[in-house]
Amino acid sequence: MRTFETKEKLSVFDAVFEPVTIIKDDGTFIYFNHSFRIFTQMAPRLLKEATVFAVVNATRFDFKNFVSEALKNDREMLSEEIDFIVNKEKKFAVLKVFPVLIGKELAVQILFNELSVERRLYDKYKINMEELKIAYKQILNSDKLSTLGELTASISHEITNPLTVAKGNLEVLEYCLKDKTTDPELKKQSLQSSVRNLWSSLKRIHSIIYNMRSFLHSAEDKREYIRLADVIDSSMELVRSLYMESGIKLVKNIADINSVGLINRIKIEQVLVNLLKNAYDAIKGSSEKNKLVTINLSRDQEEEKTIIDIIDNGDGISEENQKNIFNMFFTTKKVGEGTGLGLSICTRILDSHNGKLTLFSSKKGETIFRIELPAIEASSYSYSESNLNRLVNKDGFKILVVDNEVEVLNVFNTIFKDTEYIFIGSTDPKEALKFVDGMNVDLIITDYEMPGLNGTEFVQKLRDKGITTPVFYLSSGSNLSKYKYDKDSLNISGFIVKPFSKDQIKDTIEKVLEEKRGAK
Amino acid sequence: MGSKLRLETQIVNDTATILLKGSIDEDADFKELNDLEAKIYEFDFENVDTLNSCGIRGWISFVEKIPDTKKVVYKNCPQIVIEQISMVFGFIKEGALIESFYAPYFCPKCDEEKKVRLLTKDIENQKAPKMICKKCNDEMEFDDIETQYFSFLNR
Repeated sequence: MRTFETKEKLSVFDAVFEPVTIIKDDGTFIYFNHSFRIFTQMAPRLLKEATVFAVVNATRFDFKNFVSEALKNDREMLSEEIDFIVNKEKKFAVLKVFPVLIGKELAVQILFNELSVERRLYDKYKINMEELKIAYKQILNSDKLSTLGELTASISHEITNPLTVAKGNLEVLEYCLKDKTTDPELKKQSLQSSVRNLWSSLKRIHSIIYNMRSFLHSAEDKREYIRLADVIDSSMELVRSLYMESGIKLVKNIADINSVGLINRIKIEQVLVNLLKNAYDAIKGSSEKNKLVTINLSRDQEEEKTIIDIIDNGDGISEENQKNIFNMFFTTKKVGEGTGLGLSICTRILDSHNGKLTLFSSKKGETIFRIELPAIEASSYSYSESNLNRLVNKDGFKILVVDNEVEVLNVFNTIFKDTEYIFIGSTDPKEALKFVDGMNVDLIITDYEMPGLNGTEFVQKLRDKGITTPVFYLSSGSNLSKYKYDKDSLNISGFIVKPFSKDQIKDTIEKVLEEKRGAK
Repeated sequence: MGSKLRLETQIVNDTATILLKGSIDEDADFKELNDLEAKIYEFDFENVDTLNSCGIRGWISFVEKIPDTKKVVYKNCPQIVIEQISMVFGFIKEGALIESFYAPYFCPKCDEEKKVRLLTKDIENQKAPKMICKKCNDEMEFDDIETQYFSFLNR
């Protein structure tokens, strides 16, 4: 127990910033420092006649009992955050209470950690944050509408082309149906050709409208495994007619067609369309004769990221503007032609994907905007964690699913989304082998027919590494024989037939968990 | 909780008198006081009803930017401001003058608390001047600990 020889020794707390008081067991004051006096906003003469329980009126906290407990048990006690009324004002604090001896007199020392300001700010800004989130969503939507508005003229032109083709072919059909003179075989060929062209035109129109609708769709924060090449394609589709009308070539170089990200497709599309639109605006007025915009998709294995570069051969961005382009409301366009929000929104979207957007370089003839997205261990992601390294020490039942089809991984994603299980998906068995080295998973479900390594080869390599994790094959019924063959030699725990149900997967997990408990 | 801080500024000749009214808190904004065309800044705190650490931070940030060539005067500082002066470095700009402030007194006969306006130049040796109650003519007690309350005069 802390001891002070005399009351005078308590003056050591005079200069302490925190409110400190020492009381008798009935709550009357033996000592209080200047900070305590300020804290209570009470004159010393009033404090001397009061008790701490009256001065610090805690409405939902049994202050007296708390102090008694500290005395009874002769130990330091720390309270939770409590609210109380001090001089008609509501305050928040955490109290530290412990018994002390003043000479031979037993007393209680109370330290106050006042949290009123923090609590006030927290409550205030929680409301403000909610309002900001709503405003941000509205800005995102406005940006999309604005972009789509700018693309509308060319999109409607784009629809006109297949409509014209469809109209022309309908006229041919009409003629063929009325005509009685032409050779039936020739007529049949003509009809077939016209019907094919009609279908093609209608599909084209449907695709354009579907793309527009998807783009406009309000993006909840849903993430899925998506091939990045597909997102690039759909984004290029939205701006294609704009580029064609202006004679600007738009090409793509996909170094890794299988690059997959766990992304919100609509939001990443918004980023790409914004950048393509910016490249278009930059290049259309440039002096370059052969105007070209290129999208490159590649992977940086060392840095574990996927890179998408949008490159234009325009006049470049001045050094002065380069400093400001990511700032909100900064624009080099005329009033009414741009809000200046595009790049800051893109940055924000990529931040939320643990990625980033940079102006990689800009000079006359070449400007490169670079998107980086995390691509840890090739195409493998956990729904809840984009950095697999952080999963290593995370507690929980970890399930690794290996399947080269992203749609299958998305199904598992949905199944495990609101459960306590930690799901890791991989489209590449070779990459999956790399990270099971560094991380203990509790269950592996693997497709059988995969490019690179089939199921048997994959599990053989696992077992060669000494990894004894239960493995289930996931495949069509035609591969059942493979399971029967590998069951004993590779210790395969079971076979899940595609298509599978949610319950089948849950039963599989239960079985493994039960075996684990039994083994213990 | 106090009301939003309002600033009323009047510039006469070379002196800007700024009346602060309300709460010096996280919402307090001193931007309008930047670059006033005056040689003397007189801040009157009479109507400040509350202040917190966020507001003090904002105040210090503003006051630091006032050029050293300007004269700064603090007037009519209420008790809550005096209490903060000794707790927070920088609240009073280096070289500034605290012209006047309020101190707590108590009349035992009338059983009433009073805030009395004092001039800094009248305080000697950190002793509270004698005050007479206007109601009963008895001498009032200083209602705080003198050494602590007047410690700001030592800065």
